[in-house]
Amino acid sequence: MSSSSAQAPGGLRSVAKRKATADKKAQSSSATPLSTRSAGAGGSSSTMMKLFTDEAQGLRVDPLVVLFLAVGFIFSVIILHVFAKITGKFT
Amino acid sequence: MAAEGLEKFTEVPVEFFKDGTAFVKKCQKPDLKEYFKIIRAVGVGFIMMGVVGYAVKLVHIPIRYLIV
Amino acid sequence: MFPFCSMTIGTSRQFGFFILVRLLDLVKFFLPILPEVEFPYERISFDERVVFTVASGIIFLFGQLPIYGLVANAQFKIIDPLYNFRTIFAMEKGTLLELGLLPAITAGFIWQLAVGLKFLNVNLNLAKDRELFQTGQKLTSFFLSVVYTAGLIYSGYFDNVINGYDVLSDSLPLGWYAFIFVQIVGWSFFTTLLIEVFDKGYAFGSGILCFLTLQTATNVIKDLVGLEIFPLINSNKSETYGALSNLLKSFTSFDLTVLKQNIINAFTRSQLPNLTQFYISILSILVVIFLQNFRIEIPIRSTKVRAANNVYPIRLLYTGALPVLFTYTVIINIQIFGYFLVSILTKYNVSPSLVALIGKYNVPSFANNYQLTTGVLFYISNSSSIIASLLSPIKSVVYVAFSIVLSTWFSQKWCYISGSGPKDTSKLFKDQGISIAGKRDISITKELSRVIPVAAVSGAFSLIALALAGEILGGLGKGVSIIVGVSSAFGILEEFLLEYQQTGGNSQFSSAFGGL
Repeated sequence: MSSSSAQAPGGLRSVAKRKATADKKAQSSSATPLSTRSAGAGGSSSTMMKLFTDEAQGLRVDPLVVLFLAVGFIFSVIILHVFAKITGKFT
Repeated sequence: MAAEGLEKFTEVPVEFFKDGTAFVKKCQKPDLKEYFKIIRAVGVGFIMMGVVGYAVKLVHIPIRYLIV
Repeated sequence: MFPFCSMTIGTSRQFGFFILVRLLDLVKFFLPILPEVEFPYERISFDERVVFTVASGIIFLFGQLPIYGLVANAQFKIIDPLYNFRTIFAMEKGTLLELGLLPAITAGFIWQLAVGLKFLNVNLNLAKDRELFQTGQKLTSFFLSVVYTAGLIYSGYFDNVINGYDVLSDSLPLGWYAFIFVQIVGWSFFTTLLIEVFDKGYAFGSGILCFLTLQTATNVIKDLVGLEIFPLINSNKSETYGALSNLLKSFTSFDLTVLKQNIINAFTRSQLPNLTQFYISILSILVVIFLQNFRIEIPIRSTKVRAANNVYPIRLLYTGALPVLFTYTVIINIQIFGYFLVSILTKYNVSPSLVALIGKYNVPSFANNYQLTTGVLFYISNSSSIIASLLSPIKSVVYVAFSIVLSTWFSQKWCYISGSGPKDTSKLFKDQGISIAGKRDISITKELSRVIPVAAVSGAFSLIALALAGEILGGLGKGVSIIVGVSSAFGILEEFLLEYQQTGGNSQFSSAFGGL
């Protein structure tokens, strides 16, 4: 940056140089990012692995609902166990 | 041709070891005071997590016994 | 020539785009039925994040409930082909966590590597593509859990522990199979959603690594002071699980010869955790912490503020424990699919000598495990003790070489993929108005690319070497899980402290943590 300003503007060399930098810029901007983090949307960093970074369209649920549903799932399994034990005792 | 391929094959790890050892030598190593500080911080966190986790595990023992 | 050239590029991109559209359309089809955790509307406070972390961690651990439909104490009776990798992925035998974090981790690595290595043409600059990308990961995680569970059930993994089922006389217990399937897949589904709660910023760190850390910490404590009394296989004795608690219990006897025997036993017993393993674990924890603080400090200066000099540390463990995790994800997937393949081929009466090329299992008398004796699978499995690794040197060498190559390859790719390569870091410098002292702006990338890839690769190499040292000594995945757990704990701790400092200490928990 500072080096180009030192040179007088114009001239064949600087045109070629400018074109080269413009090309480079176009190339780097058209290159698709390799990960959600380099796209600027969070996600896996170098030491952390993250799977979910964006909110997709879908069945949106509150995180609390997820926690309660998970507990509910556990309880349904416990109830199955208890039920099996009780019926097993009487038969 | 084959020898050249072999040479290339051995060259990469050798290069890598050279770079790696140079890097490790250049590295800033933690001094003893810093090291103990970090061990304490990580250790406390780790043990806290472990105790909570193990408490949940312990709760499972009577549950297991009762329901299965 | 130019227009022609650009045209071919255009068509090739279009071709790639065509594949992309088809693949992502497949994902799109599932969009309306897949639950999606909402983004927080406002910033989650420090206290809320602590509560969410603890709550989801405890719920995750509650998944250690025994599966309905299995006999009591099924975890002692299942003959286990994956015993040497379980701890790394929080897979608990005979419980709802039968698959642990395996589907989610595998799905994540598959998608992120596929995009990072450009096998899939996804433009992550577009929000739409990013959404489909993450839904793809979730969908793959569910799909994999279905595949793993179906494979385990099909290969007869549960057959000898299903309630009231006799392998020899009864017909297939399809009802029980369905019950087991629904439970394992269901819990795997909830595990993935819990990970999503973490990843969306309701809790600290990434879901996968936080759960792994929690699991590792629990296991370390359990191995040391575990109070459960376990029956020893093929003997009428039972011993306390924890190495230390077992030793302490043995002090109740005052007979000196018995005491001496007990102390030796505490260091050498093979079925339950012993103190030698515990010391190996502690040693690996200390080494990981030591390595974690190896860094090269690059002197930086601000381009905006004069005389604001500082250092930017580049860690030796630049990619953390992810290369190790990746290596073992690959190995366990090979093992699990190999196990399925062997059992399928055996069911179709393929000649045993051919099946033995893939792998041959053997059940030793002292443990309920399937131990590999030969075949491809044998050469990429770890050994149960140092004697076993010395007895089969070729296998040990193959296993070590395979792991090292995988993890160094991964770390080299990952430092570019994860958006923290030299280019991305120099972009970050530029955005924040930082430059390396004594260097011009243009040469920042060059300077960084001399340091970062070397750091990533040597860091991955030293970690995998540490992990393999534990494995050769017979750590059975414990050393690996500790390495992954401790280095993930660093990331979580960092995020925790950062957040804690930002709240300025005005949180309900600050008094509780004040003493530390």
